[in-house]
Amino acid sequence: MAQQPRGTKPAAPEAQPTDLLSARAGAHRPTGFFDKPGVRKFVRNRTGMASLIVISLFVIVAVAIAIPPHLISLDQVQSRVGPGTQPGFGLASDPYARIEVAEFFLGEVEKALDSSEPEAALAELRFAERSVKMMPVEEIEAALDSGYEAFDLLDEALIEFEDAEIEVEELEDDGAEAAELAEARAAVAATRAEFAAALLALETEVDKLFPSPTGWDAFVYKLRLVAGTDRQGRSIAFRAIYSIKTATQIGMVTALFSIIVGAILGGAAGFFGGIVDHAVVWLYSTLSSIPYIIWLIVIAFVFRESTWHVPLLGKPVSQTLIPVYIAFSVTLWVGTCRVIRGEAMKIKSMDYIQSAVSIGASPFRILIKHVLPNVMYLLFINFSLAFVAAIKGEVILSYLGLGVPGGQPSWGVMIRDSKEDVVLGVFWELGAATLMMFILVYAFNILSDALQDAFDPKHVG
Amino acid sequence: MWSYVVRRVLYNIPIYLVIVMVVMAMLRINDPVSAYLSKNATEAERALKEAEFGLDQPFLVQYFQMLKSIVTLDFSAKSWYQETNTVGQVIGPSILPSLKITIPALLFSTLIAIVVALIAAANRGRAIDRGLMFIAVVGMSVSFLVFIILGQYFGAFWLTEKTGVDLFAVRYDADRLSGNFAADWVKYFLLPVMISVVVSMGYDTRFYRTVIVEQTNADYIRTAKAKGCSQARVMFIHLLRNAMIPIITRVMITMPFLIVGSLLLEVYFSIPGMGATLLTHMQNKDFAVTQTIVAILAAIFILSNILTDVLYAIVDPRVRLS
Repeated sequence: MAQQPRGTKPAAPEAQPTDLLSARAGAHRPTGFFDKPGVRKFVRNRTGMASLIVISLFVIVAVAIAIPPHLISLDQVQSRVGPGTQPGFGLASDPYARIEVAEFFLGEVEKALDSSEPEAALAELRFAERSVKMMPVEEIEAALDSGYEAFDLLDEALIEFEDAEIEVEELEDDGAEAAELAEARAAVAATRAEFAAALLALETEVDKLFPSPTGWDAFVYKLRLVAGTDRQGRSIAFRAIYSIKTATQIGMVTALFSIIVGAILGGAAGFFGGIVDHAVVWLYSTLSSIPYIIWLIVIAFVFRESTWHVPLLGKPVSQTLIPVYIAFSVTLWVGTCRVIRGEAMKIKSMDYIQSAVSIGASPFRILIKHVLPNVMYLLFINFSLAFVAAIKGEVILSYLGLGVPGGQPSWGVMIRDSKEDVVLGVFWELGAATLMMFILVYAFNILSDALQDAFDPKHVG
Repeated sequence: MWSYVVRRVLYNIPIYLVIVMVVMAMLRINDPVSAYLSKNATEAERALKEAEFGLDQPFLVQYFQMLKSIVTLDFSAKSWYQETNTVGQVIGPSILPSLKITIPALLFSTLIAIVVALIAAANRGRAIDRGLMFIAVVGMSVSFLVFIILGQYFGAFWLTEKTGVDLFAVRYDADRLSGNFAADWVKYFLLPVMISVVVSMGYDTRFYRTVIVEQTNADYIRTAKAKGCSQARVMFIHLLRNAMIPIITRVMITMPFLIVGSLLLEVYFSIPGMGATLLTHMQNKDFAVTQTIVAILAAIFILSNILTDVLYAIVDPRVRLS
């Protein structure tokens, strides 16, 4: 199946020009980037463009997190926002979850008061946008007492409500008379209302200690709790968003490295052949004879005890992402290299390359001017394949404890941490991390399909 | 044919020699002995450990000793982590559990993926094809680990609690084996194998579908149809044989990923396979076992590469002549 490179493609048979003007227009076909047939086909592909937009959004968020006025700082994702393992979305308004939140805030104030320096401890008591109201310690103590009083009242109301509910169930099981049943149901409604009122009263008391944020802060605070909290009471939503930066960082570095190295080595091997070709083929068959997980384990083994400090970062190498980059880079360039080598070999025998050689073009010029444009789409496709491979690989590495080090969150770290929660039927952390990752990886998968559709003449849909 | 096999073997030997050398060199970048011994170990203890494992000798001597032990299958060096066992005694029992996952996983995933791909290709462009491919891309976009976590939750916890069917164990437990090979395999290995199959399904189906669709345009298919073959006969008899080359390549290419997958599954389900053993011993700074397992895994890959080439030659006689 000989491939027809775009450079030599005969002009499509055009409609017979009816007048001089259109004939001239045909003669001077625009040759800008957006007029190439592949690009035009790609731009017309709606799902492809949508995925490109999604990916751009992710990259923008990643950049916003990474550059100085950080959208989300590392401190923010590591600090607690409330009690641990809280549900998100609608479930946050579940009465039991609300009781837990109130209990948590009262408990934290009590702990601070019990410490040796209550004032300092209170001043430090801060959960993102929510902090203790500035007032004298005595007043706080009083507020805490009234908070606990409200809590006791709530407890009573809750017990009454639950008793009433149990009674209804018993009556239903016994097949009691309708009148009796209706009475019991009325009691449930009444106690439920009492319970709700007591809960509201408790929350008002808690609000006196920990004023709910208002305005913009309230919005941010809600956003933090939108997907619940993890075991340590940290915001799942913010951790999942921050992980975009981690994923983009790993994906960009390794994908860029692998396509650049893959293109250079593959192009050289395919184009020059001979000893260069043998050396490159030998190199990649050697490297790919060990799966990357083994490479990674070996690399981790090497870096684990290393005390070598990375010059610019000022951290020991085991605390950086460098082992992860190396492990992915070592293996991911091989795919690109194979494809480019095959394509370069094919292009080499094309007529237009022969003519370029015969008019005395240098090999370098031929590579840049004639070969590179024809393999560009392959580089894009392989870039997105490598990106996806790196993001998905990071999860596996983080699970094995070899991935993202320190307190930096990543989807892999989140999925690993969620393991114990899932056993208890809590899916918030797993769900948030998986969803974020799914959107990005799915977009990349769609993008590479769209690129293939648009640029690969052999591609079958 | 035999000359072809010999050529492939000869071609792969230098590759393997270099792999072993690279691995050995990498593992020595950071002194393995000081990583293993505690910080306040004396110089004498260090020297003793080095001498015991021959680390005080020149690199090339160590290299040839390593090669000799691989060629003669003599793994009698002491493990650093389980000090009463030799490296061979550590690695030996871990091979079978790994094979119990990888071989069924490879078999099932390939067979199911080919059948699904044939169905999709036969209905190319229709709703069933588009639906299957959509599911495939969705499956490709979810992490392996998520499949494992959810698979274990629903297969081992949820199923037992909600329906009372205690089909799968949560994790491998050597003390609870019943002794019945098949029953034990179903209880402890079937769930990991199923997860592995589901994970590879997305990639494999898409790939095989592309291969098959490419073949459907070939002349011989038109001829077969013209002489009145049924659609099923064309698909399964004529087309499949010709699609075999890319399929074999694919199966062999997925081998490394299978090891990765089985490593994860082994760790997650506490199955004492090669991957889990490697990880445990690496985390405990067991230099001897780490080095040997990596060398053995590399040997397995090289052998699978050779096997791929030989299979090519069997399926397509043109290959061995080129």
